[in-house]
Amino acid sequence: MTLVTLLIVAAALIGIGLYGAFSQQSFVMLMMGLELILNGAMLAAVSFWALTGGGAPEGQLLTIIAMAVMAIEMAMGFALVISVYRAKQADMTEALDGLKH
Amino acid sequence: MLWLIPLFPIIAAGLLYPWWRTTASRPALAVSAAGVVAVTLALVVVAGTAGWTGSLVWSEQLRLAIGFTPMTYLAALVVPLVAAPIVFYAAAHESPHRLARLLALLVAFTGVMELIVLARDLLSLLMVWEIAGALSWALIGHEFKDRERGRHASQAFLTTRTGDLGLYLAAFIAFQHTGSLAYADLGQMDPLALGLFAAGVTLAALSKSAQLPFAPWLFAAMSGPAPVSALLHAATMVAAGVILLMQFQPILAGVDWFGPLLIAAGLTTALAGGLVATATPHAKRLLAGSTSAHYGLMFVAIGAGYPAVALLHFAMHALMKAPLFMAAGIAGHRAGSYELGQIARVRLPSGLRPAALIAALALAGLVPLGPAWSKEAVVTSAGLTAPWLALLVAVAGGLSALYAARFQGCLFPRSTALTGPESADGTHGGLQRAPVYFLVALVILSSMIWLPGVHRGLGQWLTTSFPSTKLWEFVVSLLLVLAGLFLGRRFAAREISGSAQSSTVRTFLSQWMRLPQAAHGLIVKPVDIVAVRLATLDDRAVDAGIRASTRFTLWLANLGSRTVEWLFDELPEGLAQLAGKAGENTRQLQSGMLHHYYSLMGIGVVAMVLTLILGMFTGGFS
Amino acid sequence: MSAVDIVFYVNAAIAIYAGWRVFVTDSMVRASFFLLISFLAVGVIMLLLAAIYLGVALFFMMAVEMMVMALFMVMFMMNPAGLNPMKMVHQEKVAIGVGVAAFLALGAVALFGEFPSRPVPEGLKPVVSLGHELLGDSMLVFESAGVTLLATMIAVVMLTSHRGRFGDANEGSQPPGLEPGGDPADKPPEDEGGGHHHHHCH
Repeated sequence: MTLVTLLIVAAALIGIGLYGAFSQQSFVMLMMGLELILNGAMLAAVSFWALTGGGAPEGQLLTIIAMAVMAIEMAMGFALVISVYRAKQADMTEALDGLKH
Repeated sequence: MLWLIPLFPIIAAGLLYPWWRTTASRPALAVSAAGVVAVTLALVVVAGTAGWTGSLVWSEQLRLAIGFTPMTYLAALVVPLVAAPIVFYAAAHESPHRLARLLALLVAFTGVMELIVLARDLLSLLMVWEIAGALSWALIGHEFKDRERGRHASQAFLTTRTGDLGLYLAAFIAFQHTGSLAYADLGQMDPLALGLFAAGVTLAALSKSAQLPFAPWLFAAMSGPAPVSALLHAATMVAAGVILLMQFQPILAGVDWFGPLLIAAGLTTALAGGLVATATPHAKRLLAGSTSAHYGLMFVAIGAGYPAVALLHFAMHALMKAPLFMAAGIAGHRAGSYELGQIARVRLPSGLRPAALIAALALAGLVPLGPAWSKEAVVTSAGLTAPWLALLVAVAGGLSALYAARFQGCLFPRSTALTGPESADGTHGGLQRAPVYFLVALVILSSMIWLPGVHRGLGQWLTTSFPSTKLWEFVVSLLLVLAGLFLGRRFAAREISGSAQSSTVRTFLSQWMRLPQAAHGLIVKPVDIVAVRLATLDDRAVDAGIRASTRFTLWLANLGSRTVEWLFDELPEGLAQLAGKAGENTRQLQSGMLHHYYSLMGIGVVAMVLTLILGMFTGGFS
Repeated sequence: MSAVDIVFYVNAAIAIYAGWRVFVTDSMVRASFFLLISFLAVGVIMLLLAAIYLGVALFFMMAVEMMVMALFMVMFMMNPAGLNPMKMVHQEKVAIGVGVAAFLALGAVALFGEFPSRPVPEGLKPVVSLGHELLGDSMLVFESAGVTLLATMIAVVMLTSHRGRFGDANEGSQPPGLEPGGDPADKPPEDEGGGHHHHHCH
């Protein structure tokens, strides 16, 4: 359990999350991708705190902030999904073509 | 001031021309035209006594100068003196159709000739030489509606122009070797240049003065009206060559072939012209042949080293030749033709007979008259070179007597089978004959030159001396003249009776020994053939290049229209299409699809990160 | 290979595998549970890294969150049970490229980056130090996060309420077609007000 292996795991999670975020049509699945990205990021942050930060508490704080961001993202995402569904009866990103020229 | 002399008749002719066109009164025409020439004569006299000079500075090297020497002064006197009666006669005698043009040209020609006489440098000489050529063409082709006459005018013009090239050559040589064109500086040339100069001047003089081989142009010049012939032969055009050589003789005497060449050409022309005049059945052509012959005598005198003799013979010839031409003109008008056989059948005004007789005798060179003296002087000066030359010149004089008698005999035959009224000239018969009488009176007056005091005085004035006549030459000459007169009468009688055979020899002679045909065969045809060949070559070879370049240009143009046009169309088109596509594609970026948007954002982020990494490696962001 | 290492590798494998399975299952409910598993595995790794508070918080938070997500799945999806194959992706190649590229880039950072080795000192109480930090030096940050969360809740309620300031939330909306581009599956619900607009004068 070295920093390198931890970071590679985090990188793998971020890569998978990015794939999801970029490829999924469904809003919810897309948000899962985002969750995975944040997952990897939190893992990397904790790894840095534990192995290079010398126990500085700001490392943990950063992770806490990331969690908060995750929560906000989830809440806002679902709210937007609901409002989109209300308006368009759709849960796919393709439905949001209001900006189409 | 001296410029007045040539310019006055030219300008006056121009100013009077409109008035001459409108007026129909022949006396007014005659008096005004002759008056202009007479004023010119007066101007010459005044200029000679007052010592006028004239010059015009064009640049440092080119300055026109005119002035008198004793010899040219005499020539300048003779020209208007003879021209005045001629224009008077022209105004009285010629048909009123385009008479004003004829008069204006004649009067202007007098002025131009004065300038030829007065010119003291080659540049002004060249200019007026050309003007004289052009004017002679206009005069000979006066009846230019007639194709034949127009052709003759062109022939005369081209022949003399050919000789003019020699004058150009001479001018170029002189300018190159002396840096100036003035006559005074000609003596500075080295022998070779002097030889070339002499060749050029001689060529020009031979062609203008109708010597062999150029002589036939005078026959062509007979297409002009009678006064034109009179003026050309007596005072102007033909005289130009002699006057030119007269002035250059002191300089050119140093060229060893100059004298012999002139004597040879002059003597040949004198004999040939005499034969032609003897043979020709045409009154004016008879006189034309005689002109060539007498100018040949002047050439002999110049070649022998006595230009003053030539000058005097020129003056005498002018005085007698003009009335003969006028008489021929009157006779020709009456007969409706210049054939001697036809002329012999018409009645001519009786007053004309003695006048023409005196002029003809003068032409024959009979002793008491002035022309006889100058002819004898030519004989003597030729005899100083070689006695047999004197004999030949005397033979030429005999021929002269022969055709003079023939002319007179045909104009005024003794037979009484004449047709036509005595005076068919209408009211102006007297007016026409007056200049004839005037000139004949001058011929009689010229007999004074036989007086020893007179010709010695002349010699002193001309700062030269005349050779003293040898007795045997004089006797031979006289005998030949008498024989010629006798034969001429016989010839005339045969001409009138119509028994004159048109033998081959006669035909040959009366066509100037087929010289025109020879010229046609030797010069015109080869030149024509060469020109045709060259034209063919030009068509085939030179034009081929041009056509090839045309084809090449067309090919290039086609290539351009196909390829370059396509390229130049497609470049902007392609760019436009690219821009259009880019625009459409850019609009497609606005797909409304969220995932597209954050893909783009991702690309942006990646680009940013790469930039940062790059900056890290290249040490940027300092 | 200590026990800690073994636990770490197992959990790392679980986290990555579960994370991958999220996007290839046929059922979305299952997908959300895979995501939960992935998070739990990461939480275990955090525990191994002595970030006790964070790991536990992650357990709780994710458990709840994934329940909510599963609810949403059941709510929206036509295929919650995964009875027929489901693959709803777009621009998959780009996404794969992005994922691989990100993994390679970050892996390269992990492999070739030079990081200082300053592990957690002995005797450090991570939870206590975090608590002091949260309610001490970084209180402003912590409180800002709290207020932000509050604002988020309010905004969420605003967004999801049936009635907005300007009338019915789904006014003018149309249900999607049964097939793409087909007729709407259902008429939009009739406005019980008969189409008259409510003008509230505030």
